[in-house]
Amino acid sequence: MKGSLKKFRYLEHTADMGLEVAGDSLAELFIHAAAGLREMIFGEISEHAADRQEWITVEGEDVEELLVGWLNELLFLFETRGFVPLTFRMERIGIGDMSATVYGAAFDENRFPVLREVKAVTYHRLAVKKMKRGWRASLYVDL
Amino acid sequence: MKIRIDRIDACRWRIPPFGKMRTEGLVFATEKMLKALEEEQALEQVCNVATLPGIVGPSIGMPDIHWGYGFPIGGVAAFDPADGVVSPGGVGYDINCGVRLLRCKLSVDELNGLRDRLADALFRNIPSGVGSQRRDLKLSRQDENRVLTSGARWAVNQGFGTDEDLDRIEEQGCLPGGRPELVSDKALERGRSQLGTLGSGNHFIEVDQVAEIHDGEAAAALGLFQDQVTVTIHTGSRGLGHQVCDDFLRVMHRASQKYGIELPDRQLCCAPLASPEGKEYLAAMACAANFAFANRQLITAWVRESFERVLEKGPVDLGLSVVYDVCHNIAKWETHPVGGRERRLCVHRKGATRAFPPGHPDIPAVYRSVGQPVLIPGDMGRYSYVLVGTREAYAETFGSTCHGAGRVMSRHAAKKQARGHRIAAELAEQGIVVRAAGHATLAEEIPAAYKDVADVVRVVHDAGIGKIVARLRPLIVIKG
Repeated sequence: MKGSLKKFRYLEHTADMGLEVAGDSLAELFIHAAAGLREMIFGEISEHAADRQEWITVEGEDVEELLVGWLNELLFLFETRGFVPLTFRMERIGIGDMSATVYGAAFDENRFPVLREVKAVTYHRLAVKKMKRGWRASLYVDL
Repeated sequence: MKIRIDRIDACRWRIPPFGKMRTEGLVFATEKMLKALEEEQALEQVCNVATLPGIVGPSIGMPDIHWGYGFPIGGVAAFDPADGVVSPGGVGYDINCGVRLLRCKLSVDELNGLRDRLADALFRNIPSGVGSQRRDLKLSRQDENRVLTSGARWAVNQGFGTDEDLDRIEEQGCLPGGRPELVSDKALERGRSQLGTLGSGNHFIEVDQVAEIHDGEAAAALGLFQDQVTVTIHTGSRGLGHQVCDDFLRVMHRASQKYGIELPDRQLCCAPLASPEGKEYLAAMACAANFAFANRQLITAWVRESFERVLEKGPVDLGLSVVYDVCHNIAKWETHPVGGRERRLCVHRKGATRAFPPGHPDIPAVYRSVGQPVLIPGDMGRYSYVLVGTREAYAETFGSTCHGAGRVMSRHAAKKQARGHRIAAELAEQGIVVRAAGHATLAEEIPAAYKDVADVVRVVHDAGIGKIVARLRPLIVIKG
């Protein structure tokens, strides 16, 4: 992995797409992954006028499962409640569980034109690593 | 990883077992296709599947094989009930993603001047795109449970279609053994508003024209004639299926550890077929499969309605009837001849289609003389194919064949190539009317992003694991 990655970048895949993510802390890694997933669906969102919030808690037996669970929870909220995540506050994050407050807005096609549907975040080639400085992760989504 | 692969004939390749492989790999491809495959990990995935316990026969790769999650897309593998496993990665996120073909009495000329209106009506009547929902079809929890246990039958009971439709669906539109109590609340919530929706990505509804008949006898048995108007519906179990897969990947990850199954890839996590986890996955998967059958049945009803309104013809004059409906992401109990005796096996088909031979009792009586119809969609600019199943497929691939074109270009590369092109306008010049919901969909789904499906079906035809009946050409494409 190159050293210059600030937040996230896309990974190429013939059938689907991936994300390579960096963060100074595990909490920041999770937030950058969420931002990457959102950009994959909506492209860049410039406005951040949140008017609602959701509370997410996820349990997992390792940090990989936690990351997949967290991102899939965001997909679930978008699909079922039309919740577009804008900013994130990590409340706690450990190896076995995490919780976060997500500030967002109601889905409106004109405000948030959708680029593509993400079906799920997968475990394929999933890696979460603690580096000398900060954390790195790579993951692939099913489109 | 460099994998040794030996040529068997012009379209068959064998990967001899190495490392922890319990059986060989069998790949259907031309030499040119194989070269492209060696650059990605699909062959490695064929080998990974061969390491799973209780695999019977080879780990099979179809000519449209490409890198998937866990199993390759275009992969087939069968497992023994006593010591074999079931893996959600061998089915995929979109459980019972599949294809349905409708035929009608119209010839292509009868759509003259009506194509745009028909495209608009289909686009309006069938919700498509990300998070598409149907506001006029609110399911109660009880109704949803019925969908999960009875599949397309539920839709027919509600007045969406006829008993004749059900006869022409794989498994008559209902996988037995669905247990809704094993489907999570989250999956149910995702499903409730998405029944009767197309979704996005590569899912589509196409109005096609029968452009070429390759096998007159089989085409006649399937009710297909030259220049006839047909409709292809490609969609699956929507968010409900994705959630069932995600939920059970967690269960299976723990089960793999519990039962001491060594995995080369976490996405291949699985459980013994005889274990509670394995049985529960199959029962939840059946629910998602039934949701998908009901979904395609509802969409069929709205396709009929759209045609009736735009063409101002009644159902009898239009004769829009189901040719067949196939699953291409599924695990099923089937009986197959292995080593001279019949064995009950759990066959995983991920991006592969069942292709049962003439005479098989599980195919509708009307098709029994020619074999099971197999529906192979291509990209939106070129063509799709109708095939029938063969005895060779039954003997060699657990009655399976390919499922589609398979991508050759990543979405990013496709978008780059599409830049500067007015995709919809260019397709319109070729006589194809396109409506798309997603902003990136058209660019990412350009024809060049896919293998030429003619090459794919040519391989299965030449190998004998499918027989080409007809080629369809798109007239109207509705993309999610």
